[in-house]
Amino acid sequence: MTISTHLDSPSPGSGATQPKKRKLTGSVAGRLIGAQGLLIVVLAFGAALSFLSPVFLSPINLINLLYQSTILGVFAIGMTFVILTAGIDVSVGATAAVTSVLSMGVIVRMGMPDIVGIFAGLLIGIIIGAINGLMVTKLGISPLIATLATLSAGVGLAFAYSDGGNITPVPQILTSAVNAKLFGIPLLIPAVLIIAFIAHLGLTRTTFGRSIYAVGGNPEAALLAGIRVDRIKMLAYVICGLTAAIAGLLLTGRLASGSPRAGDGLELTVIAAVVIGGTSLFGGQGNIKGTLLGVLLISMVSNAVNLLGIPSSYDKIVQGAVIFAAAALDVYRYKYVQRGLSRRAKLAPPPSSSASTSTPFSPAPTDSAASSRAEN
Amino acid sequence: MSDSHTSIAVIEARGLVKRFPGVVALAGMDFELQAGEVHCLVGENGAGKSTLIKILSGFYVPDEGGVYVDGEPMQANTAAAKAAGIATIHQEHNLVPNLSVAENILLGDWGGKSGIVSKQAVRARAKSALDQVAPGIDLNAPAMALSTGEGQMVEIARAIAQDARVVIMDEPTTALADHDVAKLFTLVNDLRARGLAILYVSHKLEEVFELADKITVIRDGQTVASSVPAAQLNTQSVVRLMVGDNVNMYEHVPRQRGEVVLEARGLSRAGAFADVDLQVHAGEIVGLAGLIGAGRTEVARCIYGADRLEKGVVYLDGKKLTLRGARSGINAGIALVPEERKQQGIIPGLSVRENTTLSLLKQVSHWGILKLGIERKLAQKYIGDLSIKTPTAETSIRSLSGGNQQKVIIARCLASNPRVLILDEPTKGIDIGAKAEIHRLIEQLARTGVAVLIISSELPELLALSDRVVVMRRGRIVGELDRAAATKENVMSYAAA
Ligand SMILES: Nc1ncnc2c1ncn2[C@@H]1O[C@H](COP(=O)(O)OP(=O)(O)OP(=O)(O)O)[C@@H](O)[C@H]1O
Ligand SMILES: [Mg+2]
Repeated sequence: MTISTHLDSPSPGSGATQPKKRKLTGSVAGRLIGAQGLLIVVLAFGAALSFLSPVFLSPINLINLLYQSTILGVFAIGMTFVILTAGIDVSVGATAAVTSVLSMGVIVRMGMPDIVGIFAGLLIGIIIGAINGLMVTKLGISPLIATLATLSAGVGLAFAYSDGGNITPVPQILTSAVNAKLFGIPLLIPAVLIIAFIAHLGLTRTTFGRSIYAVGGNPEAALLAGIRVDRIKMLAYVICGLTAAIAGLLLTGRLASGSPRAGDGLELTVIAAVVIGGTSLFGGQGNIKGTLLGVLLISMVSNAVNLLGIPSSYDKIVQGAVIFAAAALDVYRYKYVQRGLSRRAKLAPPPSSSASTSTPFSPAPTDSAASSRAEN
Repeated sequence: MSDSHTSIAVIEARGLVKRFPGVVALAGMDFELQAGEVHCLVGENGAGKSTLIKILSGFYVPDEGGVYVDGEPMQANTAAAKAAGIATIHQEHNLVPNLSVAENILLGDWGGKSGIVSKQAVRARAKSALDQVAPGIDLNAPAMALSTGEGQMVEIARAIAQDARVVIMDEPTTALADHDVAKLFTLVNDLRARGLAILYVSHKLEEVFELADKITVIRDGQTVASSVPAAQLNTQSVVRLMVGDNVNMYEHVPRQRGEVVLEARGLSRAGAFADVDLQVHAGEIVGLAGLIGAGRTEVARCIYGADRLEKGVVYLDGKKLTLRGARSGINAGIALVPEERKQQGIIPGLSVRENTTLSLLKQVSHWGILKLGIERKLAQKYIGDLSIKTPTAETSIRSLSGGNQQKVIIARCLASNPRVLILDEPTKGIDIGAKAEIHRLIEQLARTGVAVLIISSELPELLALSDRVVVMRRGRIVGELDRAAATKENVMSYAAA
């Protein structure tokens, strides 16, 4: 599939006469797009902010920043699993909304014990995830379309059930889960870190995690190696649904009501955080550490908008720019890896090699293009 | 052959150094290629052949040294290489599948400064190039309709249309049927006669000696024999140069044949094969011969469980198998080395260790938790056993050379301790020394009572290994020959009739 030889355009400055300069750009670029790169970006952004706003580095703001990141973090942890399988789930916001109104409905309208409502909420997340998973695996619907369908149905369901209004009062267990503090630090922060750590172990130390990477990296090879590809994908969507439900419950606590607007429009922010965190939309590459950094970066953008007194409507625009940068970075990173760390990556990207024109969600060209270059 | 009228190098590489993390792929390599010669490049897996080619074609920038065309330094990018008349034909199809043959031939070069593609002009230019190579191919056919061999012809036509002076071919025959190989050779000789310089990489030494004017041998990124006239070398001397030692070629030793382990009865799958009966005994190596497209791979995949059988039953140790998915095959004790390493074998994002243990995650884990220590030991064992050339077990499989990736896939199959091992083109792209090692390994495995079914388009390999050869033609089994009767002629008379 490689046609670069014939399509590469001349690239000024990539001649054999300037090896020094190339090496430099190459290695800097190499580091910037790696895992450490993101940490550097986060730190640099933080440093810039601390100059622009004296408040930024204050303990209260930093704690607030982390606190604001928690719910996004919960969403993003689950999303990482799905994106690692080269899938996508745009229904997470809707899942959170459905969870929010239904669990509150169980508690308030049906008068069930709090804990029953909470479990009902979690179960709903799992069910929605399973529906997504079934559509993707058994029906072969593309992940974007499948989860778009659940997004739409979910939002509709949440509004229908709540008549568009909020359901109150929220039981104390949920509000305190969100608000409880110890030594001034919201307990939610360590709780989310624990969830993240479990997810990290799940991805790196279990057969399931290994299978996730295999399925995302090369589904056909994974299948032939005996991995139950469909089951793994199903599980990934279920995990994503579950984390969306947890996030929905937390949102309920924070909003102090069961709201059909909980999680509204969050899906894009979540996906952006994961991709900024280095998880490739092409599948098979990424990790939880990166996701957490991505979440932090996105929260810092909102934080900056706040601190600098920029009208909050600009928040979305800035976020849009960040998402764009993340996506561009992903394509770039993908090509870079594909070229086997060749230093040429930066200088002469093949303008229309088949890899760059193929759809980002189909893994097959990913592999063959990568390998026909890497091999023989 | 044509040394007399050429002595200036068309393309020359001096002091090439290329490092990758943890490896030095080229360590100060010199190379030169002259007009009107077929220059064969040989070396073990991972010796640096493909890296050299990628530098010559402008795809990689060397860390040190440079490429010179007619004595002038060449810029290290693919456009410069193309402008210098260097065309590279990669091992796989490099055509754009949904463009026509004509468009592929003039890819990126459609003429018309205005950016408007003139259909007629394209056709005329493409036609003249294709006529010189393979007049039988339809210019309007989409590239995806071509066979591998035809695809290669089209790529060569592309080189001609570009007025290439240097044609580089990296293992061009690994995916070709015999008659296509013959065609390719005619063409290569023809290109040489027109004064083109041809760099030809292959692990098949018979091919090398059939074509080469000169041979360059590389080992560990350095030339150990530079531009030696082919007449001064022979297979043994080349092998010795490649590995720095003698290779003990595989020799067949008779084995004890046990009970029937694998038995297939009446296997059918529409469009692929029909009424296939097959038996493999413990300790027996059965070769499945046939032309490309005879249905061998399909049979193998069905026995493994990867594809659905429409009719027929597979027994293992007399027990009927329910085959649903590759997992069921593995659980029953069947392992398959798939035909296409890239699409079906490697997981590019995972390390050598992770790729090795992929089929036996159950065995290297406890309650779903991986035991990394055991994994590491296992990977290390196979890196040693199969001489896999990799900096460490943690290296990404993507950065291994083609042959070494193949060894990792074989390791994955061996690691699952199968009762039945099916190998589909197991030594594709593997160097001669490693091949002998793999053959010995297969032999040893059979000795321990494993039933082995091997598919190979390389008849000599199949004949050397097999205790019995089963021949398929157009989806049916047409003949069975025991070792004594299995000669090239006999097999071909069944396979090609
Ligand atoms: N993109 C890459 N990243 C890291 N290491 C690489 C890369 N490409 C090649 N190497 C390493 O460089 C060495 C030479 O590899 P190369 O592909 O040139 O070998 P080769 O002679 O073509 O082998 P084969 O016969 O197996 O195709 C190997 O050790 C390989 O692992
Ligand atoms: Mg190679």
